[in-house]
This record gives sequence, C-alpha cells and structure tokens, in this order.
Amino acid sequence: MTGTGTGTAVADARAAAGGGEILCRGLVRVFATDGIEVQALQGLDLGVGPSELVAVVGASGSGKSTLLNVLSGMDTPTAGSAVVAGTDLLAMGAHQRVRFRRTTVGFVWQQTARNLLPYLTAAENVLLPLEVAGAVPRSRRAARVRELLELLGVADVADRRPGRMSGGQQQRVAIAVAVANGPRVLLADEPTGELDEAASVDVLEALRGVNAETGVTTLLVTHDPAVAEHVARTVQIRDGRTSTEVLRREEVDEHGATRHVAEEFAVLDRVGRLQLSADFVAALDLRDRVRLALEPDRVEVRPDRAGPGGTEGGR
Amino acid sequence: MLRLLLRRHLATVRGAGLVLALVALLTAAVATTAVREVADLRARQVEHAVQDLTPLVRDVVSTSGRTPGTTTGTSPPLGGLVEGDPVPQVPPDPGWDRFLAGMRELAATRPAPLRDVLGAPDLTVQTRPVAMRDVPGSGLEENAVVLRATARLDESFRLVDGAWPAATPIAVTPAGPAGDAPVEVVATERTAETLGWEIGEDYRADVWQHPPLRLVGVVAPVDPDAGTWYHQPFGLEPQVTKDFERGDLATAAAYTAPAMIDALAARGAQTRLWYPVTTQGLDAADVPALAAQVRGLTNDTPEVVPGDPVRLQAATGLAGVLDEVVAERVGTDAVLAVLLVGPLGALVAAVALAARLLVERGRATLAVLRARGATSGQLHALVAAEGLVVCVPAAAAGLVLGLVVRPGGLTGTQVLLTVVAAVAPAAAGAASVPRDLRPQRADLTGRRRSRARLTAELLLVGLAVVATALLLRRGVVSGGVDPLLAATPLLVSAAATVLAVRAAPHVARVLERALARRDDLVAFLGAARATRAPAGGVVPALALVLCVTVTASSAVVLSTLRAGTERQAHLEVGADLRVTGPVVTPEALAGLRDHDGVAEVATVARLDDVGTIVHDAPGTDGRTPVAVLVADADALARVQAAVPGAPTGVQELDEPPDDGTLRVVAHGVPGGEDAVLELGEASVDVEVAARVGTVPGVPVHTPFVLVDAGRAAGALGVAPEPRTALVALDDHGAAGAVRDLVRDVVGERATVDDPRSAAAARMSSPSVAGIAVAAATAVAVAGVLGVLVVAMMLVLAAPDRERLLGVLRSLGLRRGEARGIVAWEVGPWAVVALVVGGALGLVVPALLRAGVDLTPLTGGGRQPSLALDPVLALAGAAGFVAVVVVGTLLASVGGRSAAVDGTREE
Repeated sequence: MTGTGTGTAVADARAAAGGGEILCRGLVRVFATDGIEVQALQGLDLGVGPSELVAVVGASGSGKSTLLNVLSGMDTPTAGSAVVAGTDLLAMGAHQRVRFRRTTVGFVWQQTARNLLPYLTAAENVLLPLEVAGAVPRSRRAARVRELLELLGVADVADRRPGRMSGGQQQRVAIAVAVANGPRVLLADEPTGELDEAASVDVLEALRGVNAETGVTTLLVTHDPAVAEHVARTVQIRDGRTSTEVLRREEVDEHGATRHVAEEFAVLDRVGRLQLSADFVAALDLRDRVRLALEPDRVEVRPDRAGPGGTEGGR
Repeated sequence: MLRLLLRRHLATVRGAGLVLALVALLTAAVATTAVREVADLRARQVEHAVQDLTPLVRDVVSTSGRTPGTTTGTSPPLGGLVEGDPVPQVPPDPGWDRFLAGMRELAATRPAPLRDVLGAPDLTVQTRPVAMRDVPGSGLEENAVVLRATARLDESFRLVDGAWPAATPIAVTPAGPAGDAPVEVVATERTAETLGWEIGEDYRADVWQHPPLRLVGVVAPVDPDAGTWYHQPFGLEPQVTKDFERGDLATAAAYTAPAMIDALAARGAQTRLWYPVTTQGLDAADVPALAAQVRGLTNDTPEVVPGDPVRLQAATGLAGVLDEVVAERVGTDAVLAVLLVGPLGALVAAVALAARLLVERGRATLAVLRARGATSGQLHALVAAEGLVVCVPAAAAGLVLGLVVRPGGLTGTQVLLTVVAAVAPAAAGAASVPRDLRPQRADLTGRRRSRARLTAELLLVGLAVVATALLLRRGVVSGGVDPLLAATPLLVSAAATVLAVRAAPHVARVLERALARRDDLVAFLGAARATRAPAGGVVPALALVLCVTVTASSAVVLSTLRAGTERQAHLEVGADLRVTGPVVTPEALAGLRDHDGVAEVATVARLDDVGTIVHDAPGTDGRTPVAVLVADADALARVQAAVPGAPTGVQELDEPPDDGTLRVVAHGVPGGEDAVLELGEASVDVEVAARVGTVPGVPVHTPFVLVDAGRAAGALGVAPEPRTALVALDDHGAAGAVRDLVRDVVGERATVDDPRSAAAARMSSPSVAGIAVAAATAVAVAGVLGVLVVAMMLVLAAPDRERLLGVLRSLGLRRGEARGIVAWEVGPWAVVALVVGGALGLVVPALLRAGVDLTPLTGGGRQPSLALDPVLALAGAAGFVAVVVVGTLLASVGGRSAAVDGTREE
C-alpha cells in the first residue's frame, strides 16, 4: 500500500500488522551492564506491508534507533520476533546476515560518512554495493548506476565526490546506493536530520519517489514530526513501544476541493494495552488511575477524581 | 573496484600507512642486520679466541718417532746390518707426496666444518741436535745443528744461492749414520752467517762416524710470518744462548733431502705432521660441532697410508679453546637476548598500535562496506591488502637498507625475518578489525572484555612471579640457550606495566582531586581526561615502558660490565701502574718515587728458590712448598689501599712479634697460625697473619707466602731483586702521562700496565664490544619506537581531542592551553614509563646477574656488582624526554591532517 489517496489505508495497515515485509512481535531489547538494565524496547509490535512507506517517529531515547538497529540486523533483540522480508532476524547466521545486507535491505543513515565513502565519486559509491554483492552482471552495472542516479535526480553530480555535493544531493546519492541491489526493504535513519527544510523535502520526496517507482518497502525513522506530514502512515514510539499511529489521506469534498485528512489512532497491542497520548493525559489531568466504561460503540476513559495516587494507569 | 578502493583509501589513511611502513622498515632493517651482526660477532669471537693462539696450540699436530714412507720404520739397515762396515748407498725417496696426499684425503673424509678448518697438511722429520765442530771465527763456543727434511722445502723457501740438497750415499750402523760422503744441506742466510758456514764447504759433526755436512745452498723463507715456522724451530734463524760462563751457544736447523733423513735420524727421528688450522669463514653456529669433531679426530689414530709406520695421532689445543668460546658465548647470548627482547616487545606493541591506527582511520569505510554486505573475510582482506601494499616494499627497503649499512651474506633467516616484518603488520591490521564497527555507547557494552583483560593480566603477573622465582632459585648457570632467562625480563616488564597502568588512574584521580581545587582548567581537565578518557591504554604504555626499560637496562648492563672489568683489571694490575720486566734497582726505585705525580711505589720480588712451610695441618705430610714473595709491606699496603680485593694484614708484616717470629701473608698453606718457613739453609718461625686468595698485581698460581723485605733480609738473609714495581699515582687516572716517563727510569724493556688500558683492551674484545653495539642499537631502536608510539598515541586520540578543543576554543581556550591539554595526554604515560621503566632498568640487569655468569665477559674474578654510570643515566633520561617531545611534534603534524580527515569524514 503506497502513499496517498485511498480510503482503505486504515484497513490496509491493519492487514499489514498481521503480516508483511516487516513484522515485529513483542520485541524486547534489554541492555544490561554493571547490574543496571536499560529496556530500550519493551514488547514492540510493528507490521509494515509490502511497498508501504512508513515513518517511525519518537523522541530521543524512545527506542527508535534500537528498533532500526534490530531491523538492519546489526543488533539482536533479547526477546520477541522480528521478520524482515521473510528473514527471521533472531535466527540469522553470518552468511545470512551478509546476504541480508547485500540483497534484502538497504540503509540510509543520517551522516554522510556512514552512507558514502568520501574518496569515491557518486557513481563509484553507487557502483560499490553492486561490486560487493555481485548480483547485477558486470556489463549492466554502469547502466544500473546511471539509472539509479537519474531516478534520484543526481545524475549531474555523478562524477563528484561527496565533499563537493550539497547535503541533499549526498542523501539522494545515499538512497541510490541503498537501493542499488534492488532490496525489498529500505531502512532510513533520520535521513534528513542534518538538512535544512528545503533539502529535507527534496530527500523525502526522493524517498517517496523511489518507493513509488520500485515498490521497495520503506521504513523511515525520525524524531522530526514535520517529516511525518510527507508520509501516509506514521507510527509513534514511546518508551520502547508503538503508541499511536497517524494515517493521512486526501479526500475530495463535495465542492470538489482536495483536503488532507490526518487521523490519529492509538495502537492496541495483542493483549489489549494501549497508550493515551500525552495531550489527552494532560488535558484531563489523568493520573494514577482512570475510570473505564464500556459503552455500546466505545470505551470511555474518565479521570478518577476521588482516589489518591498509587497505581499506574492509562496503559 | 578493489584496486580503486585500495588506492583511494590508502591515500586517506596515509599517516597510518606511513607509520606502518616505518615500523615494517625498522623491523626488517634491524632484525636482518642483527642476524648478520650476531653471526659476525660470533665469528669474531671465534677468531679472537683462536687466532690469538700460536699455531703450536691451534694447529692439529701429530708427532712420531718414525719416519713416514719407510717400510720398516727407523734405521733400515742400509748396506746391511752385517759384520764389518756397511756399504754406503743412496737411500730411496720416501714418497712423502703420497703421504701428504693421504693426509689430505684423511682431512677430506672428515665431516664439515672440520675438513674446511684443516689447511694443507705438511710434515717434517728431523734429527736430534747434532753437535758440530767449531768453525773458526764464528765466535760460538758450541754449536749444534738439527737436520731436517720437509715435504715442501721449495714451497717454504726460495733458493738465494747454490742448489737444493740432493740425496747422497750414506750408511747406517747401530751407532747411527755413517759415511764419508758429505750430506748436502741448505740453510737460511742468518743461519749460515751465525754458524760461519759458506756454500760448498764441508763441516764435520762432533759425532763418531757421522758424515760431514756440506752447505750446497742458501735459502730465504717465502713468508717469514707464516705459521709453518712455529713447527720448524730454528728454521729461520739459530737460537743463540748467551752463557756468561761458557760463551755463546747456538742451535740451528739445516735442511736436507727427504731421502736422507731416515738414515740421518737413525738414532731417533722426530716426525711432525700437522694441519694448519684456520677458523676464518667458520660459521659460528658450527663451533660446538667443530669442538666435537676435533675431539673425534684426536681420539682416533687413523692410518694415513696403508702399511706406513706413521699414523696420525692428532693433538691440538683447539677443542679446549672452542669450549671456552662456547662458554663465553652463553654469557654474551644471554645478555644479548635480554637486551634485544625489550625492543622486540616494544616493536610488537608498536605494530599492534600501528595496526589499530590503520583500522581506526579506515573505520568509516569498513563500516560502510560491511553495511553494504561485505563479508568479514572481505574486510580483513582489504585491511591486510592495505597493510601488504605498504609493508612489503617497506620491509624490502629495510632489508636493503640494512645490507647497505652492514653488508654481509643474505641468509634464509634474514629473508624469513623480512617476510615476517612485511606480513606481521598486515596480519595485525586484519586481526584488529573489530566485530562491531559502529561507535559504541560505553554504558551499553558489557564487561566481558574487561573481565578477559583482568584474567590475562593476572595470568601475566603470575607468570612473571613464577619465572622470577624459578630464575632466582636456579641461580647462575652456564651452558645452553636459556628461554627462561630471555623471557623473564620481558614478563616482569609486561607485568610491571599492567600493574602501573592499573595504578595510574588512581594516582591521576588523586591528582585530579587535588587539581580541581586549583583555578587551572588545563591541569584539571588533563588529569580528568587521563583518568576517564585515556589516550592510550595498555599497549602504548607497555611500549613506552619497554623503551625506557631497554635504555635503562642497557645503561646498567654496560656500566656493570665496565665497572666489573675495571675492578678485575685493577685487581690484576694491582695498582695505578705496574712495571714489570727489568730488575727495579734501588736507584730506579728512588727515581720512580721522586717522579712527579707518583704517590708511592712498592716493589715485589719472587725469590728464585722455593721455600717450604712446615706446618701441623692434619692429613698432610706437614710440608707445603711455597713461592716466597718479598715486598716492601708498608709501601704495598699504601699502594693497594684503594685496590679492590687487596689482602688485609699486609701493613702488619713489618711489625712482627718481638720473639723474632716472621709474620707472613699466605695463600694455599694449610695449618694453624704458627709454622716454620725453610728457605735454603735458613729456617725461621712464622706467624700467618692472614690467608688471601691473591696479591693484586702479582700473579702466582702456586701456594705462596708474602713477607716484608726488611724483615726477610734479617730473618732469611736474602736480598731479592724485585722485577715488579707497583705504583700509586696522585691522580689515579693519569697513568697515560706517567707511563712513558716510568720507562725512562726503569728501562725500555719494562712492561707498564695500567688498569684503564687493561680494561679497555678487555672491553674491546668482540663479545663486550658486540654487547655495547647491541645495547646502543637497542637504545636507538627503542628511541625510534618511542617516537612512533608517542606520535601514534596522540594521533589515535586526535579526533576526540579535536572535538574537545573545538568546543573549548569556542569558549576562549588559548593556544598554549591547548598544547597543555595535549601534553596531559602523553605526560602521565611518560611519567609512568620513566618511573616504571627506570625501576625495571635496575631489575632486569639484576635478573641477568642472578642468572648468567658474567665473569667470562669481565675477565674473571667474581660476578660484577650492579653499577650505573650517572652520565649514561642522565643521557638516557634526557633522551627519553627528547623522544616524547619529538613524538608530540610529529603527532601535531600528523594530527592536523588527521583532523582534516576527521571533519571531512564525519
């Protein structure tokens, strides 16, 4: 399910959560050192369907980097399951890991240094993964490089080294590098983190273009809520769990005018837990415990004004 | 693509590549040169020991009472041993060429290296000295001639005048050679001149029936300095003994034809077969084998020519000398191993550091490649390829450089070492590619590594303790290669370093706390960074400590050897100057005493007559023959006041008890204090005041007693003629200036020794000189490595530091303060290295002294005590400071480019 425009996005997303290109179930990652445990992921559930473009948004320390490290195969979760494009990340051996990196996923990181080699030109940088993987026949590689650079709109800087490109160009070349071997999944970690607004828009549009053109399932991690506006589905992470989702679509009203609609959903996990957004909690001054009431078509959450604090509520 | 990657990537890590190349170059150059140098040193040790021997000791010699080439041995009855006069006949040629060929073949069948050491064999047969009648006008009272035949007469001599001797008819009777036909001989010009012989003249022997000798030719030696003359006494010139009672006595040698000698030597031939021995070109590693082979030869009596009465019964002093060489080599090797193992350890640390630098610098690239699906193998291969591209040419250049500096043969070992120097950094680089290339969060990484480190360090410390304990318990040994001895100093150094590295943060923390109260950002920040974000860690600290240890222990070892040698030389010479040779007359003694700069002179005489000490020691016959030394006791005590090992009790010799007893200092005399000394007719009660090992400067290897000259004159009635004068100088070091003047006083033939020259001669022996060269090289290598290590340490820390300095500069940090921050990165480690390395510099030689017999190097005596020349110590410390400064400057050059790399890459 890609990007813009259909009214069935919500249903599709639900379908995706049940199975798809990226499927995380109860993902837990605990860092333990010197007897102190840090729970970076606390039972995260996430599903992304084929060819979907999803943004994962979260504040610093929410666990989104850990999630991306797990999905990119650089980190191993403590518990739970994570399957990316049919590869079970928990049961991945060294050979599988190499194959996974070569053909299954592509990465774009925030820093250029992690994406591109400073002493290779844009074309050479794109050629590098082709050479490493060896999946594309030698005779077709040059054409493939050209094709990718054109797709990303950076064919004009093909012979420049990263030091002589703008930040936006660098990131677009980085996207070209990431999708060079035709991966099924593209993971992007704050790809616009170091860019100004205009360049960010360029890069996000490029990502969207690639997603649309190649059908690569794209997961974008960012702390910048503005990015989310370019994406149909945004997943919010808080404290190591997915908390809410925002789905965007365009609607044509009765006057024929197009309007953007964004609906925010809370994520209900498999055992029925959900997170209230901070705004809601603050607005009604919800604390410690709340009253729940089941109505025929909804569940009501009301503050408990009577009782003293003590137990944790709202989750 | 790989080539492109390699080329472009190498260009970005060229600083690290350069360091790696330098390390490889240095390793290859030093290792291969050291191999050649050690081989050369050993060869020189052998040369030094063997070539100082006379050919008489060195050469393989066999003697016999029979003449080779004669079937029946001595005195074939030429003319028949029948009634009446035998008829003179011309004897047949003995065929010595065949005999020499047999000797050559015998040598050739011996195993190498013995067969290569044995030179062209030679043989002589000679008679006992034949008394000759006087030649009027020769001025000789008596003369005797040894008649000799040699197989290679025309190779040893050239004919100056006349002809070579030919065989002539001769008869042999039971009384010896007989006949009237003159025996033809040749002799050297000096011989003919001394004997008064002329060509063509006959000279009669003073022996019944002996045929006369006719000088048919005068010859001259082809090479008067050749070793062959040691085997042919009187061959070059006669020996003339001056006897005041009887006049001059001459003994000469005359050479005759080989055919004649058996008949001439009918009453006792003296046959001498020999192989000249030359150890030039001997591979020093073959010395033990050669010693064994020489023993094999001397224990065997092979036939030279089947059926010949003369067999080879080889004898030589070579085997014993070779054994001494091996013993000396054990000491040298141990010292060398200890000196070289330090730089080796530092080298390994530097290689590890350079490899880490290479990987650190290429980390971003490796991370990108890994993320794009490069396998670990590919990443290792890339780093290894980079290492090889840089190190192979560098190591080859190092080999060539070494060959230029120190030419010599290229051996397989050297090629192997070069390969190791080229491959090791590449391998180390490949090995230091971390599993996880992403930046690590310190709080999220486990403690497993630090546990492994703790275990390794505890193991190291334990090993060091065990090795030291073993070494100390075992004590001094000689013989065999000793891995324990070589490994212990390295283990102790490494253990001390890890302990120091563990302790350093605590010290720095105390420092930090102290400095936090002060209003000095740099000091506080420096101390804080040293504690919390140390620039180096164990590896550079270990390298620096080893560098200082090498320098300090080299200085201590050299100082110890020098002090030990000087002490031993002082003990041997016995004073600031020793004059020996001519009799020191009372006038000469007075002249010496009046000399400028001379503080005191003592004379020592050894009586020609041997005395006997009659004592009451049980288990003996109560009589010990003793040499009697007579000295001016009071002067001797004053002269030797400062001499190490000088006997006590000498000054009491001229204050004997009143009962007429003579007080003596004795060596090798058993029994109690009271004894009787008999000398000639005299017999006197003696009291042994002290028992000593030796009297410095007076080498006596038999039991002796030392008595005061004045007392001895009264008690024993002797007036000795001293031939030894021991001189104390006002300025102990001024021996050189006084030496020549002393000769003027005592006589030209006097031998003047002084401890300094004797020690210098000892120090210039190949072993000690080789150790000095090795120590200097080790220090130089340690210096270069120190510079590299400091530079690498700072360059490795450069990215972090640049970030910090960037922040601090924006807060208004001044340039000088920035330099202070850099100084704090290296300063604490430099101090640790100086303190720990300096201490180890004393410990390592102490271990060496505990484990190795150093006396073959110092000239004997007792094991030298540790010493440290303050000049060397100061020079070493100054050198280390210079090394740190140069390394810091180098890093500031490399660091600037690294900072540029850093900002571009991040």
